[in-house]
Amino acid sequence: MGLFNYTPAENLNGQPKVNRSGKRFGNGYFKVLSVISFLLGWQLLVSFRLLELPSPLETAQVFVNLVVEGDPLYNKTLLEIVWSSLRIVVEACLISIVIAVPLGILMGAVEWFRHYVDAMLEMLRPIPPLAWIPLAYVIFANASRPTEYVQIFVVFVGAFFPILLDTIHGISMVNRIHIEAAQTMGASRRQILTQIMLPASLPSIFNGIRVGFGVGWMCIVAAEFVGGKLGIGYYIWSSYSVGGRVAEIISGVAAIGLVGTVMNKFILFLEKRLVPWR
Amino acid sequence: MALILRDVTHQFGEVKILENLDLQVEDGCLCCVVGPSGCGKSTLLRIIAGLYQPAGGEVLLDDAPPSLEKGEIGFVFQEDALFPWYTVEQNIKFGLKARNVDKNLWDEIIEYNLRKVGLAEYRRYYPKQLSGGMKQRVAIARVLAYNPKLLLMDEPFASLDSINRNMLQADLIDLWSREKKTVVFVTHNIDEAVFLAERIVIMNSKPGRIKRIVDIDLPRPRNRTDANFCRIRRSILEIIESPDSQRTGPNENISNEEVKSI
Repeated sequence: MGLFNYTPAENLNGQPKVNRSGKRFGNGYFKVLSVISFLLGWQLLVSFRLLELPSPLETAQVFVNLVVEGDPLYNKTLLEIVWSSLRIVVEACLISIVIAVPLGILMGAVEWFRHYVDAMLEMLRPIPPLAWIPLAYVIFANASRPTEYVQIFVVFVGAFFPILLDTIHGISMVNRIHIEAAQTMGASRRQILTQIMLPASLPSIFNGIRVGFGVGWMCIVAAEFVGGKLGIGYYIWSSYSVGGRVAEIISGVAAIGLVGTVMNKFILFLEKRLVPWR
Repeated sequence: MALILRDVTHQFGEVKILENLDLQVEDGCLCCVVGPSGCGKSTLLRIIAGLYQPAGGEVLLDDAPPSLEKGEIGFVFQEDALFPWYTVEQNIKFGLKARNVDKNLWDEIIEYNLRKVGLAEYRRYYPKQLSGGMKQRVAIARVLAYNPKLLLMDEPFASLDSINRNMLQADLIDLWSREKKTVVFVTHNIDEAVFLAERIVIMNSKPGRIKRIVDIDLPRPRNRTDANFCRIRRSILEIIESPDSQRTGPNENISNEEVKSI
């Protein structure tokens, strides 16, 4: 035993390592253990009165109640509240995809166009999406539903840059050999763009879309803090303003986390279906 | 005369890659280009294909400069150049579509060409499901499908193991003797060149020039362990390793008689 007691290299692949680093339990075991430790830690903090929070069990009861019965103060279930936020994120992100992907492909493929647009985008990119909120309210002041337009706009800005940058990155990483192969077969520029460069950069584009939805989901919560009478951000902020509704706040926060995770998994699933060659 | 290179010169910036290349390849000739790495063999193929414009000189394919749009060229790359997002069948379709081949014929052409390379059952496979040798077979089927005038092969078997490589070489000879396509095959493997070629173009590097052109008239099928085969291998190797004093000028290709004497 000691420093020199290492596994010979040829045993590393092929030979199953039994009873080493707890492998016999599988990785699922650690995932369950992680959740249990988190809940246990929370319970301990509450039991020893280190934090003035409801216990995990109390919170879970409120959460289930909010999902099934709804919140009497708002006359809505948690699902309805989450859905009104999610709807805006989906709409805004779809607009982002429709604009950012073609723009990114064009920027990746046409050099002068990239330089032309780059200067503009480099000015806009460092601005946090939330900084646009006041200006957006001014711009959409005369729209039929200004709050909704502002929220869509803010989420759109948040999702736009990850999608655009990953699209450009995907196009720039297209294997030269594939383009040369297509050229020697006599393919037109349009064929190379749509049948070589676009599919080749799809994995990268999907990555951008995934990140974009994540950022968009953060933006909607913050945008709902500032204005409007709908959505999960509004719900947790107004629950705080009412006071004494900590379990409701935690339930709302948990719902935000859950929806974010499901969204991420769903896009990964879509990618697997639409990019079967990877 | 199928392919003619006249005084082809090329450079990247200040660095001369190719200098005063003259070469003629007749219809149906299988011509191998050998030389040390970095002698501009791949660049030469890309110039012939029309992917690069030469800095000087001209390339003529049947009396006209080669054009990418006409799809006269079938290029087989060293790297895996199959499109991973397409199945085997779709990869071949891409070429047929680019060449505007009648859609009604696609199915038949794909079947016929995959059978030629022995992969008819793999139509619906993705490239990632194929081995290296199978991928190169598909790459060959993909270019044969649109029936190019000239086949350019850039070390297509270099990344394969030697058993697979020998098999593909034999199959290539088989294909070539049936179809009599003009082939320019770049390799740094002398064994491969002697096995395949009717004519070997030996290049030297920095800048790339043609050192010697040697006709190989060994009967086929060729046997790698045959005494004549080994003798020719040795003399090719000697030419490659000999100092540059033997370098021929642009217009003094060695006559056939002289070449045959080695």
